[in-house]
Amino acid sequence: MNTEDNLKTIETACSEVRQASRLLCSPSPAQLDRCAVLLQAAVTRLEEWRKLPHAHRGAARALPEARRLRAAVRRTRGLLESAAGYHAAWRRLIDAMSAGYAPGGAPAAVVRPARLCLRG
Amino acid sequence: MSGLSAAMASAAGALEAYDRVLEVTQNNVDNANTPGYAAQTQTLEALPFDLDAGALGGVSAGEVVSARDQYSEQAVRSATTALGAANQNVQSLTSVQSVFDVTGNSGLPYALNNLFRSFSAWAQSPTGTVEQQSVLDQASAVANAFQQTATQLAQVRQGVETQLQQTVDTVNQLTAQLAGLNQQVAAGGQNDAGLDAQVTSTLETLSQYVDVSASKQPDGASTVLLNGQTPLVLGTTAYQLTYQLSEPQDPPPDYPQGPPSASILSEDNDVTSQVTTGSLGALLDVENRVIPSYLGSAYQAGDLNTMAQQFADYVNQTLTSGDIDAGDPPQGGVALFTYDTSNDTDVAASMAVDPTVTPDQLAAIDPGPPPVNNGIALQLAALANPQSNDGEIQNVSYSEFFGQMASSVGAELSAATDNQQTQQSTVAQAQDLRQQTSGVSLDQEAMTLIQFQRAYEANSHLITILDELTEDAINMLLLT
Repeated sequence: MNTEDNLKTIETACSEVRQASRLLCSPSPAQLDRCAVLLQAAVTRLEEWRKLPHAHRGAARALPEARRLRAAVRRTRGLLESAAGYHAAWRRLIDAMSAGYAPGGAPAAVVRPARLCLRG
Repeated sequence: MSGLSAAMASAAGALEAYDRVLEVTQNNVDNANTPGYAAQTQTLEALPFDLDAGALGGVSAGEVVSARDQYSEQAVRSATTALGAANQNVQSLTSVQSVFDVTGNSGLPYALNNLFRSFSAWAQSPTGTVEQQSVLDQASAVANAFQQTATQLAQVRQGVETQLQQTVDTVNQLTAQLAGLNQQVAAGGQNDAGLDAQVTSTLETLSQYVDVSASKQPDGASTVLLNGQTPLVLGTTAYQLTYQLSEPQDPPPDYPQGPPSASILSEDNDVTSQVTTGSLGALLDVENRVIPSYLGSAYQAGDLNTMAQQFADYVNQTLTSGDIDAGDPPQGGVALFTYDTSNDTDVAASMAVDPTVTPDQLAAIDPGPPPVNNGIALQLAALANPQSNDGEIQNVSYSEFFGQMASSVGAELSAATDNQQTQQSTVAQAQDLRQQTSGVSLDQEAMTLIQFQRAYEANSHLITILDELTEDAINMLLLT
């Protein structure tokens, strides 16, 4: 792998993580699935790159891109955590609205029976 | 009532109810682009049907229900508060960073390099008048550079203090507006969608400045709390915040003459500790933490003052330990720098070269034994690259120490810029989530949340792996 290939690998991973972060601006289950696909692709790319004997070639050019990748990963983590936090609290609220509160003050457990959904 | 007229009355009632439905729908269309507006639904209530009792059935208009969900509104406000803090941090830290030029072409690093060079030249020619004059000139330039850096930082602080006052004024105006809106709600505007939109929009604007939580009371009025604790608006009363600069007393100050700290009061209670985010929180952080780390406060001298004091003391002690000439008795050297010795937080701003010192009073001779005729000049020239703790400050050279101050602002600004980008996305995300959750049925939502939970777990796992891989990649690249 030459210097250009090294740089390209990190750039592509960075682009995938940025796309994932854009998807998280509008988090729906479908968007989150697409986000996971992009993150998995970035993980696979970086894992393969790390195993290569000349992965460090062209460090002077690759290092700034790697730092941009780190910033993108942190931003994606922040967005994932804020969306997850939103839904976790929303879920607690809905549970409380559905089943009331337990004697300790926490939302009571909601019984969610299995459902069968038929579509024609 | 005859059957016919009863049927007509029932039909008229139904028509009136549907008229209200159309009115609400029209209102939704009219306000589609109104900031803060949430669509409303007119509910219809079935009237009892019992012919024997004279109840003829039909429908009547019930409550007007807003699609707005208080939970998602609060999430948008929290994200807006964090963005307000991030924007303010970037703005303030950019001003602080501009004071620290690390290119070496101006400011303190430039002046220090020139002084070290003049010490070297003086060591080559310890009795040279030109070289001695150059040392005096460059020492004056260093003193001026310390003063200028302190003055520029003080100007940044003054700007922050002006912004603090303006921000508090804006918060007070907004809370007064909310109290006024509450008054209109109390006067019968409980179902007025326009009023509701104004309240929401004002709350969103307010949340840029401070962390607010708002809740609707049964009478429709909004209660607004600062950080969930201190009332800002209760019913039709707005509680004003005030800003003040004062010397803290608890714990007792280590530097009683140090610059004062900023605090925020509500009804004479100090609520500064509750203002941790929003643009007001960010301004307080710069005023009470960032700038004091350089210029000092009641509890610290500040890095710039510490550097100025140690540098001046080292040069003065070195010069006074030397001799101007080795006659009998030898004539001792004199101190070069002066500063305000009564106030450790004013050293950089007051640093100067003693105007009574003349070039021929600079002591170049190290009395030894054995005496070295340029020993003192050499010792001072070594300040550029100190080889031992002598001539160092906190184990680094003076130039490196200044570089560390500059790089800490740079690192903080870089983190603030990253955070600003994240917060911009987080606000967009919160607005999108508000859109998703408005008016969704609980049943549907419960099912979707299970899907969300699984998706979050999968993504979170991947992010953790990516984080590690990225750190590894950076370490691998750094090692080459």
